[in-house]
Amino acid sequence: MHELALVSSLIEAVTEDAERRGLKKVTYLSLSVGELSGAGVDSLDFALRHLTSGTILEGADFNVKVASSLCECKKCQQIFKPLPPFFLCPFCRSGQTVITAGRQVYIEFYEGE
Amino acid sequence: MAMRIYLSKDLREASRLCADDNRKTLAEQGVLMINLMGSPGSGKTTLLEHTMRKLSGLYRIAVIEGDLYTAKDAERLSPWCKQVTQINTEGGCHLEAGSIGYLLKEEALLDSELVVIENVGNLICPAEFDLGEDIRVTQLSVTEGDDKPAKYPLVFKDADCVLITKLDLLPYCNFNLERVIQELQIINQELVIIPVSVYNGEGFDTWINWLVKQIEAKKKSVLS
Repeated sequence: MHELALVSSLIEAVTEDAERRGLKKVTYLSLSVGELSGAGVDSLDFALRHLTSGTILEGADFNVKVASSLCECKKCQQIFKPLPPFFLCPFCRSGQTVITAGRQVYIEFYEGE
Repeated sequence: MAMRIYLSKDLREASRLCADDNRKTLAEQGVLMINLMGSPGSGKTTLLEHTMRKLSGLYRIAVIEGDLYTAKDAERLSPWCKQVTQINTEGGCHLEAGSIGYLLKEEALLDSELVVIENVGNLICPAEFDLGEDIRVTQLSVTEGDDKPAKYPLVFKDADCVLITKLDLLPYCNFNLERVIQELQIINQELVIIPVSVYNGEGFDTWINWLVKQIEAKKKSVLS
């Protein structure tokens, strides 16, 4: 639901970096979205298309990849793929688990000219 | 000439840095900051009205109200607080650390002993944004249904305290309190769970005592 805020931060970060490098246009952007980030790929795609209008990213191609999540058990220290809703450790059944990956929204790279 | 630039940048990094700054500012002053989250209509403002009524004679309290539109909640709380600030997100589904950091520059806020942020009513997005708070409190009212922890686990997994509100309405709702408490304990074993009704007072003193303990601990941390 917060894709608009994320895309606004993205435009700001990419614009700042591209301008610093003297680039006039961004043509491609690759984004990695954690599967537990609460950000939907379709909504991100929609926001990217609409909010980039009139910016250095206008007309760029976007690639949004979904990144898998990871969990660590604080009790037995095993690392595993978390399973909502309870994120239990499949090894010791403990609920003392911490999500260590899968909540991030990450700009991997962009291409510009 | 076309070029590829690897940014490897987390979009929430800027927000996380702001949150860390907020935490540092509050730690220096010994001010406890709470981020209160919950669905629209779960009774966040009502809980705060009763909490402020009880504590406003004891502590200097400031409230930051997050809503899409209107200052209705801020108006309700203003008689009880030293300062109430309304943030209208104009459609935004959560508050961000930058907005809170801006407000923390105000002397009146830092002169408080407790800052309560009432986040935008939503069980999804606020969970993803650290505001620099010391404590996350998530509210779940019995009228919302007992499936919410399983449907929206992250806002409960990240919380320090869950208040199960509107307990006086439990006899009229299809809400299995025992099962919800069990599920919450599975999601987060360190969670403090307090069932509460501000109307008949059930559990309310437990909440107030817990909150007072947190305020005092934060005050002491700056003195030591």
